[in-house]
Amino acid sequence: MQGILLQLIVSGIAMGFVYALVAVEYTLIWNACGLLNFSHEKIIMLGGYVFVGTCITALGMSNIMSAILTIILLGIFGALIAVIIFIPLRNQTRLIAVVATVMLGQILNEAAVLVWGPVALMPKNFLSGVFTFMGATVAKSYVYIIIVAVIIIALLELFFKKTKPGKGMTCVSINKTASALMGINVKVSIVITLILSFMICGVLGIITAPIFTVKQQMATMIALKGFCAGVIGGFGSLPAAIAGGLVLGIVENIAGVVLPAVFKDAVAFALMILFMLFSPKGLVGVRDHVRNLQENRKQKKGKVNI
Amino acid sequence: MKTAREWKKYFPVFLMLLLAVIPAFVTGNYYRTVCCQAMLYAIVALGLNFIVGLSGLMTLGTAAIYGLGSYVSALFCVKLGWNPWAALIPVLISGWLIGKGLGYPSLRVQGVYLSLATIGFNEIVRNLLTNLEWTGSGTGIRNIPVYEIGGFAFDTQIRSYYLIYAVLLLFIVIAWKIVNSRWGRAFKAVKDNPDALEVCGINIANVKITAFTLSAIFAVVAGAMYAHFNRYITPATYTTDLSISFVVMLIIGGLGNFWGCIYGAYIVAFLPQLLRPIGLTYKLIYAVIIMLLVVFFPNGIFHDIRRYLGLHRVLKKGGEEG
Amino acid sequence: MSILLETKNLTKRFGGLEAVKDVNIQVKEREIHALIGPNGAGKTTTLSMINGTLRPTAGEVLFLGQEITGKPTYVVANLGIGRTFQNIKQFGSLTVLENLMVGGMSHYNKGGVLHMLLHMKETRHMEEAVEEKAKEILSRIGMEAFEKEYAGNLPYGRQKVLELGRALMGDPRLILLDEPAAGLNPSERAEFVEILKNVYESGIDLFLIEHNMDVVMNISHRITVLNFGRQIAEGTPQEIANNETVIKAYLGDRFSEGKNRRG
Repeated sequence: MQGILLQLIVSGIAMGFVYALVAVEYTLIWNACGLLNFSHEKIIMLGGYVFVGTCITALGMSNIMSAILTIILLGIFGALIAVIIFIPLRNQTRLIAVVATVMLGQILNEAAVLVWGPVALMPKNFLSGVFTFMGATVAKSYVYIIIVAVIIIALLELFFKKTKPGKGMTCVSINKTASALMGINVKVSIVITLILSFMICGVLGIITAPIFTVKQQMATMIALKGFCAGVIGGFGSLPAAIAGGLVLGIVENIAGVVLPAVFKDAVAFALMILFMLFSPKGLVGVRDHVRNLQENRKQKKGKVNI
Repeated sequence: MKTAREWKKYFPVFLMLLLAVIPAFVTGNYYRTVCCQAMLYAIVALGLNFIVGLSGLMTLGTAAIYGLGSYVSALFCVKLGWNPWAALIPVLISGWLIGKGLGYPSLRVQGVYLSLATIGFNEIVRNLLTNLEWTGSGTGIRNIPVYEIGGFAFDTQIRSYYLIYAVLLLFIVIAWKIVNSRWGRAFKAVKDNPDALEVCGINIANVKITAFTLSAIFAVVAGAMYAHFNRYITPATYTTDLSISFVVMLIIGGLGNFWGCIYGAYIVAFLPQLLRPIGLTYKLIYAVIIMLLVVFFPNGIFHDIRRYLGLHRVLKKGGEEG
Repeated sequence: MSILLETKNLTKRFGGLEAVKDVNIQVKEREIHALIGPNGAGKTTTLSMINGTLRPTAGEVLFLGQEITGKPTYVVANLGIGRTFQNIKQFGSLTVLENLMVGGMSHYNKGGVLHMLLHMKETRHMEEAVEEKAKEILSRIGMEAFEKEYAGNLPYGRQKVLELGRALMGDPRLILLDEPAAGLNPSERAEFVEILKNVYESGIDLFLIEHNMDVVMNISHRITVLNFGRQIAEGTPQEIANNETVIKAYLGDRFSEGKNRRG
């Protein structure tokens, strides 16, 4: 029993980190251009295909080299998409931009079948096998996901706090006009954002390949649930996105045991809609609310004492 | 000589006549089916126009509402043995309820959040339809009865065509009346400036919920028609992609452009079929074309072509002279 | 003269900041009442609390003796309080005529969509009535020539006039005007003052915020002065012009600022 619980928690945390990375990846774009990238699902898929289909199978490279090359290629692709789509559409009606990114996703989806074929690909000897301890069997891939996600989040934190482009991007996310006036090049900032975001998508495609296998719909669910995670955490904030992802991953895994399996996927969306209705700022809103309550209570207590 | 504006007055009549004679030129059941599909899409698009086109709210859950119409009608007919016409009553009630139900969140949830919430709604509905036993789970519902009037069954493509045509006509008239009424103005006013609308003594909540309810009723009726026309429904039809397609119809037709809803629906329904002979790559080409249309003609194809050609001004002038 | 609008100890706090504190204003019938004060005195906040856009932290608003505190804006509007905004709020994609028709929507048209579709004849009559009224208002504000123009394409001054026209469409008892003359050139301003006087003479009372002293002294019968959210004076234009506290509030600040800079 204890073993099963541990298993659930580890896989919950791992999926939570996957959702968190998805949330981070589109929050970056949201902050830089005020647009949601509705094609991110297919970018993650592209990462998986480039990694398994091109680098490992066609080029016969080692796993590590393949992963590095995939991430670099995705970064280049991100720069390209920034120039073709995101920069021209940044001042358009939101709806147009939403539909344009959805169409980009469909284009990638169709292109993937043509290039890599309709059969699902599976990386061989990559993050396979299990760990056993304390009576629990945990797939190695889950453990690696947690490690990789923590490293990426730490690197991002460093990038935003310590480097000049990172600080610039933080400024752009707070106020685009003011940043432009202060001499930050908003277009360059968008390009850097897209590169970063697409690289994270690439990583997601690589680390989830053993779990979902590489196919067209491999990222559909994690992409949608990543959106949920963002809303649950609090839209537009990176730490909130990570918190939202972890909460969602664990709640969902536990719900999978308690509720009939049918409802497992619906839990995320229901949770998201509940948060939107009752705490539109997500967990951040809940935290603020609790803090306010505590402060009020402190003040009241103080008055009583006096 | 008649001026452009005078000719424009007859445009709806021309359009409806054109649609009435299309089956004479389109032979083969396959393309007639696509024609029916296009008209059903047009009904949904006319309804969606109230929310997306006029009121400017981004909802991406229409496919779920369309699916709801299909499933309610199909379940009442197949499981309870109702007449398809009688089943329209629960269909309308469900549309009214779901419209109100989606309208309320739209008061609290705005912009991109609303898109996400409605995508969430779409996914929940599709998920439930796929997994619940009594909706036929993944395989859907088969052998749905067709509409019938006094022993005359609408069971062939050509008969269905004229049934759907009649319904489309009815909905065009209703939508036209609404768009050109105080409600049409109120919907546009919500998009332009909600604060000012409140000051005019109008409850915005009421206006938004009305837009959602209208849109949902159009969508469920179209959904019900689809179920009895296709006679077989599966959850795989009602994806978020379909929801996006409905919005694409509006964009191609021009957001807020009444007749644009109809030709937008035809373009989205026919384009993939026309491209199909190309073979393997047709879906890719379809997506590329739609993306280019959306990026380069964001105000609707005809509007932007006229703008690019400088014709728009000429037309306006002609109208003023007449 | 009976009291049309009254605020009792109206207060608004934003977090720790008291934007408006204990404001008591009485707008009497057949009066043009002006609310003046330096920037940030809480004038717009007061106006927004009266018409329900902002919920007061404390205090009451009475209209014709009826309590309307915290009622939704549209309810307050339907009771007979119109409003215009400081930064123009227009329905840009509707024509001038349609803008006015929206203004009269709640007053002239009742019933939902279904009712409308089932009673075509009644609907047509109502549409005709509201259109007639809109045309009448258009001629009153001197904008007949712009009837078919989109509101978004109008020059700034015209948009301000149109907004007043839209408020008139609801047949209000009282109109709240937030800086009606701001951004107008002198000739437009003179024209606007004439329209305001005309509106007043037609039996509608006005409560306005204004920075332009020409306008305030010219048309108002009574003036209330706010400074840092407090009510510091009230009286006729004459009294206000000679009031020590008011002069200090307007000029004293500048002097003390100068002192600080020098010190």
